[in-house]
Order: sequence, then C-alpha cells, then structure tokens
Amino acid sequence: MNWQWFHRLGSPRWFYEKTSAWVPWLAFISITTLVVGAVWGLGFAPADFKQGNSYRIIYVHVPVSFLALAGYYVMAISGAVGLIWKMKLADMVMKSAAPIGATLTFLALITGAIWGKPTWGTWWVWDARITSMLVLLFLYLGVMALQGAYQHQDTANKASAILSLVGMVNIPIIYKSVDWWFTLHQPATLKLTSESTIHASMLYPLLLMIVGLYVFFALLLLMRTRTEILEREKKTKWVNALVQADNR
Amino acid sequence: MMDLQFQFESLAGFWQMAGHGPYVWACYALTFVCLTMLLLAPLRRRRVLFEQLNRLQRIAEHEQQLKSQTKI
Repeated sequence: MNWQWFHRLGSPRWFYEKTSAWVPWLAFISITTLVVGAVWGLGFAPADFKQGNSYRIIYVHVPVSFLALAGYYVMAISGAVGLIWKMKLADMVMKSAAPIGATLTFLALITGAIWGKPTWGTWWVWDARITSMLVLLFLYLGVMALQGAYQHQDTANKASAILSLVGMVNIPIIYKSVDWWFTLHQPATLKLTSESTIHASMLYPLLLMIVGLYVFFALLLLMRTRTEILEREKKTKWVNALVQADNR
Repeated sequence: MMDLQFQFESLAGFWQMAGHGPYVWACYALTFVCLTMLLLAPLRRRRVLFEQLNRLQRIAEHEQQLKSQTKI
C-alpha cells in the first residue's frame, strides 16, 4: 500500500491547498440535502398515529444526536493519532471537532427536552440515556477548556487527547443505555442489522437529514481545521501570500 | 415513487400542528440558529485573522520604506 498520503498529512499547507476546492461542494450538497429533508419532514411526512405532529422533532433530534456521537469518535481518534504519531494536523482536527460536537450535543439535549414535554409530560428526567448524553456534553466542554488552559499548545493537545480517549468509555454506555436500564427514552428507530421500526414515508426524510448533517459536519470540521492551520502558520510566507492575494 | 402530499389543510394548521406547533418549530428554529452560528464562526475568525495579518504587512512595508529613506 502506498502510504505517501499519510506522510503528506504531516504538512498542514498541503492539506490546506488540497481541500480548498472541497468547501463549496460540501456546502452545496449539505445545505440542499438539509433543506429538502427539513421541508419534507415538517410538511410532507405523515403524522405519527401515536405522537401526532410532535414526532416531527425526530428529523432534527436523531441527526444531531448521531453527529454528537460521531463527532466524539472523530475527536478521540484524531487525538490518538496526534498522541501516537505527533501529527500536527490531527491535533488541529481534534481541537476543531470539540466545539462542533459540544453544540450538537447541546442541541440533542434541548430538542430531546422539548420533545419530552408533549410526549412524556416532562422536560427532563435523570434517566440513563439523557444523563450519559449530558456527560458527553461535559467531556466536550472539558476538551475545550483544556485547549485553553495551557500556555503550550503541545501540552494542551496531549491533555485533551487523553481526556477524550478516557471519555470513550461513555460512548457504549450511551448506545446501550436504552437497553440496559429502564428508561422513558424510546429504543433505537434505525437499526443496521434488522428492519427499522419506521415506515418508508417517514424514513426517507430522516435518512436525508442524517446524510445531510454528516456532510455538514464534514464541512464545519474542514472549515475550522483550515482556519486553525492559517492561525498556526500565520508567520509563514505562504499564509502571507494568501493574505496579499485576498487583498487585491 | 410514493406520492408526496402536503399534510396540512392550511398554513395556519401547518403553524399550529394540532397543538404541537410550538414544540416542533422551537426545535427547528434552535437547530437552524446553532448550525448557522457554527457555519459563520470559522468564516469570521478567518476574516479577523486576515485583517490582522494585512495590518502587520502594511506596518512592515512602511518600516521598509523608512529604512530605505534614512539610508539616502
């Protein structure tokens, strides 16, 4: 196998130049998919026979919850890569993933609370799924705080990588929480190994929203990482040439 | 292909969603606001950085000019 691309990732400049063309495409694909999915879910998917219209919250709640977890994988894995191979770019990806993941986890909690009111009759219960998601939010905030807590970026990266790796323990707990403990939260709607418990007319907009948000997450992560590269390399010639070209 | 049909009889019905409107619309609005903020944050940071670097470049150019003038 050719490992040249992996070594090239050690060069933030190479990454920056390579990905410049991707940003508008990712933006176009994700925003179109999300708008179509949201309009479909809000207006055209049939109402749920039990929950009525409140179930339409699923089209934002499930995608943001998926991405809150996926974002944690991205953060922990890039933290590990940065820790093991001392790759600068991986550290930047880890740093960039934290605020995005924190915002998505916050959204998952708040949309869940709003959905809970008409469905369960309460905004909040201290049950396993919800509490473990709250822990996820604190882990993200912890990584963000550690990033700002050290004078040296290398120390900050090491500390936040270790915290995010230790926090991985929380991920299977979140997944399994609806099966292990008695909970108000409904079990998973989408399953990889068996038939999903949702009708196709409700499923398609949900899949659109999930795919759209995945691409949107990639876009946000890329934009943040690219800005991070510019900040860390602001004293180099190539960044200054970019600024000059931008000025003309 | 399934036929897609607008599920509400009027825009007012769409807005109210049989009583669930406030909950549903609040979720979509919050998500929209948060995602927009996430999208704008790196763009703003980039603009601030470029303005800062641009200022530094102009200062450097100015110093260069002063130096060459004092040499003559």
